[in-house]
Parts: sequence; structure tokens; C-alpha cells
Amino acid sequence: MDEISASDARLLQQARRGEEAAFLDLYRRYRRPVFQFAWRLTGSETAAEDVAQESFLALLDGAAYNPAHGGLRTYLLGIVRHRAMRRVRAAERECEDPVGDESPSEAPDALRSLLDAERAELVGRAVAALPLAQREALVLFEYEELSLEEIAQITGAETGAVKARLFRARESLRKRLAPLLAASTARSSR
Amino acid sequence: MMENDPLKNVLRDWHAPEPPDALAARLRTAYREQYRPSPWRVFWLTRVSVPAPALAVFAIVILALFLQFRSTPAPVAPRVDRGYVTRMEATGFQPLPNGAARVVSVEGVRQ
Repeated sequence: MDEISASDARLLQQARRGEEAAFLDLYRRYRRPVFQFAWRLTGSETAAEDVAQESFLALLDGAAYNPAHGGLRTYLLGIVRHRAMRRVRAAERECEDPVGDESPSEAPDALRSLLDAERAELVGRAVAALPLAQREALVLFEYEELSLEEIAQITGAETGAVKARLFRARESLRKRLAPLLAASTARSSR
Repeated sequence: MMENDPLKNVLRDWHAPEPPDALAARLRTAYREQYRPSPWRVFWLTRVSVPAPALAVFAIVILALFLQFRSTPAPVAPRVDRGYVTRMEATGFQPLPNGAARVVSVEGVRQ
């Protein structure tokens, strides 16, 4: 067990005993990955705040965390994923035309004259349009920089399945973001 | 999944916002509501740090007070049988010729 895992386990134990300072220390350590992962899955700051709050509190009620089975960050992201997925599925049931569900053919026209903010938004929308399983694999791999094994642990899938989802997600994004990719390649070749 | 993959660079353009400051306050409130310890729990879990020399002095003072004020057993009073007199004055005492002793009651002496 490394030093951070041991320290995380100790803080978690103290937080579960009612020591607020330990709980806030844990929050400060993991607020960014927790909030940003939730935001990338839900696409909403309000929902991400709710998911982050629920996840940190669920961490205290949950089963005993075993550092031998992975870091607390991975464990927490697993909770976030579960909570965020529930919200996303509920939102998709309520709304038949979810955000980012535009047809891929519409995207290229809009991409030509984009500013940086628009580029970011387009990437976000392209990621949001991916099927949930592919989206979470891509976000965990590209943005949270987790290994395939860690993603498999969080999602409960085989490592091979995670690899396949990542491959499909990247293929799909290459098609959706083709103009952006072409511009990026042109800029880097100059 | 190469490092120079253009897709990787494009994906980097999608920045996530930082967690808002209000989230910390929200979480603290929620934590206090869920984990507010009872006064008894606070009492039993409170820890006090005392330097060892101070603790030793305190223990010695307590021991000295205990020894100073401990209750001493009351002296046992000699048993006095009412109705009998023991003469302590031995002036003019003469032993009985036949050595026979007789116990008489107070009333017998007065008569």
C-alpha cells in the first residue's frame, strides 16, 4: 500500500467517525476529478455539484474501502459514475432529444468558423453524443488519465471490453470532429 | 493511442470547469447534518493531551491527599460490664488465706 492510499484510508476512517476536518481534507484532495468527471458525464454544473455531493457522502456510508484493491480516487470515481449514470439515464428518459444528439452531418458546417470556445463546445457535444459506455471510458481514459485496468474496475467491465469501447469512441469522434482534426493537423504541420 | 494523435489534441480543447467554492460549504453542511455527533459521543471521544511530568505531579498530589485524609480506624474501647466494679485501689489488700475468690455484684458491695 503506498503512502497516499494509507493516508486516504486513515482520513476516510476518521471522517466516518465524525471528524469533519478529515472529511474536508478528502474533499480537497479529490474535488477536481470528482466534479469534473461528473460534469463531463452529465453536461451540467448543477447536476455535477449534486453528484459530487452525493458521492462524497456515499463514500462515508459505503462498504469498507480496501486500499489493496486500488486507490481512493478510482473508488470515488466508481461512485460518481454510478450516481451520474442514474441521472443521465433519467434525463434521457425524460427528454427524447438529449443535448449533443444532433446528427453528425450538421457538425462539419458549423465547425468551419469556430472560435476556441466554440471548438471546446463542439468537442463537448461530440463526446456527449457518444453512447454512455463509450463516453465514460473515453472520459476516464483521456481526461482522468486512468489505466484500462482502473477503468475496468470502475465500470465493472472486462479490460478487453473497455479497450473496444475506447476504440469505437475514438473512431466515432474522428468522424464527428473531422474538420477540427484537419485544422489541427494543418496547424501542427505549419 | 499515440501521444501525437491529433484527436488527443482536439479533446484537450474541452475544458471542464473548476468545482465551485459553494460546493465545499454545501458538503460541510450536509456532513454536519449526517454526522453531527451527540454530546455524549463528543464527551467520550474528547482527548486531552497532558505532558508526562504534569501527569506525574498530579498523580503524586492525589496520592498525598488520599493518604492525608484517609479514614483511620476508631480505637477499640475496653469492654465495661455494667453492674461490676473492679477496684483499682490496692492499699491494704490482703490475699485471702485459702485463695478462694468470690465475685460480688455492686448491690452486694453497697449492702
